[in-house]
Amino acid sequence: MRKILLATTAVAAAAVFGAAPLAAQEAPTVRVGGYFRFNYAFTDQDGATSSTANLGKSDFTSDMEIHVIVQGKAANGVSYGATIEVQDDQNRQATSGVATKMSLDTDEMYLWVSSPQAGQLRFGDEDGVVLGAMATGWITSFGTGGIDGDWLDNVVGGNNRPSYFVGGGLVDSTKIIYTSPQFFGFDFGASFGFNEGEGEDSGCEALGTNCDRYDSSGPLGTYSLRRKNEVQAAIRYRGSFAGVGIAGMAGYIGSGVTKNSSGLSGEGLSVGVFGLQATAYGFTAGANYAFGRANAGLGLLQNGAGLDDQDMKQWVAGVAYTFANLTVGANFFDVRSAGSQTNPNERKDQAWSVGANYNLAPGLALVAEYTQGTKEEDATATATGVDTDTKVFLLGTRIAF
Amino acid sequence: MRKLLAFGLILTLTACGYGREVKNDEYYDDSRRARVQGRLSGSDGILIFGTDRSSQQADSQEGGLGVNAYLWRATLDTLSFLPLSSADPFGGVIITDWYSPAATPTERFRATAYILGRQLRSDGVRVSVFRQELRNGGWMDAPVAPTTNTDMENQILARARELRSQTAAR
Repeated sequence: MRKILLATTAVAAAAVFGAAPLAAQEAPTVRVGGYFRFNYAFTDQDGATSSTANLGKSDFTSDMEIHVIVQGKAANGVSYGATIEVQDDQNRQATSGVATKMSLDTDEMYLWVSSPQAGQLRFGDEDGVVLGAMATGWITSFGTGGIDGDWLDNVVGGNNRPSYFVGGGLVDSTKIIYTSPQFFGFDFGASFGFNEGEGEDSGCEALGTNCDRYDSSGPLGTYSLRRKNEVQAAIRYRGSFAGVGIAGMAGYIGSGVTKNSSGLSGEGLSVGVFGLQATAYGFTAGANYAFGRANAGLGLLQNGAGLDDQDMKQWVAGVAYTFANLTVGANFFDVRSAGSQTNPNERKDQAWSVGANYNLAPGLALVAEYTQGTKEEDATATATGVDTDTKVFLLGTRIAF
Repeated sequence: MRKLLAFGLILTLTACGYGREVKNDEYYDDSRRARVQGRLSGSDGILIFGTDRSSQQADSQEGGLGVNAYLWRATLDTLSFLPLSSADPFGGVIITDWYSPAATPTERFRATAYILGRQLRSDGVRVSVFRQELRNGGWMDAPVAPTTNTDMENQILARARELRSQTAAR
């Protein structure tokens, strides 16, 4: 598959850069866009008290993004550009050796070239075609995004945060992405990345499991599950029937995995993803179903005798309604997975959310949202379980330019 | 190897094909910024280098047109099989030249389309199709089927609705 993608990328590149009809040249433009949000959060979560510290319920939080967007068009009809997104995204990393949670990092950053005849190639840190370009069926246009909104920013402890994935659900591994033109409503695409790492360099100074090119552990080394050779492929349809806009997507996410030469290794991802959404009269409704070899949240499974290695199954559905400046909506997810692999019981991650946003002006909105999430896996005589319940109410404002 | 060839063939056909270019704003964007409707700056970011074409494009799509942009584009698409003689985007008039299908060289057609306003309405477009037949070495006016004009208008309205839905689904 890797050879296929590399070869077809070369074919597409030849087509993109090859002969094309003459078109009006456009000198490149550089734009700077931004986003800032302020939330009040009331968080009622399990695990908020211990013998060493207790948590309150109220907090103010803020977040920001800066986007640099470059775009131009050559005389041969090829459009080109680059996008660099800088964000405040160091959540929960204000620990030794890491800067504070206010530190900036890059989210997506990529260069793209596109021609009407051959489609588009992207090179850089991106989500791919299933979880990025052609993602379909995840309705997050109300509140802060409902189950994929800001609520989990306020929840302390991994066991109190249900695991799931939607668009953008994997780290933006550096990759090559191809997306086709649209034919009769259909377009398709594929993406490939060698390793899990993103960003500039090798990811490490000394040889270790944190190196981007980490492939396998030696006899005396520790083992880390990481994706190798990540492949995504998707086909999407968009059209309208009797005034109802329809979009559907079928995709596949696959990968290899790092190997452990002295013990149990893992299994690569092999997940099918299907999304469908419809838009009419101000309503947008959608659903997405994913299943296959993975743990919850597209985590990797370890293999070996006695380990719970059941397939992951995930439903996400939502609906939103926009009337004038107001958008209201609701969404939920239900994920069944192996969870703890030393616990033979199934893990159940669920959440539901209702929310609204009101546009005071283009790019300036008030939001309100309530979300509840649970995470359950029954304990056994030899394995611990988890049973947590989290509720978050958000009230905030956001601005974008 | 067969998969490689098949996929390569698809892309090669793509390169030679008739697809529509998919713009960046038709792809999913998982950033928080993308979830905010509208932009304070009125366009996607503040221009710090280059020439702002977004306002020019907006003008050409809505403000600069005296008529509905979807109907205008749909009419041009629908009548694209005829050679264009003149198009007035401010008055909303499209006039084609005569066209004689290869299968029927003894008859030819031309069309005139009027887009009647800024709203996407079922009565927002009028089409008049003219037909001539070759008789005794000269072109003579001939009647068209009574439903031809209505069929053309319906075709344009369907295409306009499709364009509108594609935009709304983004």
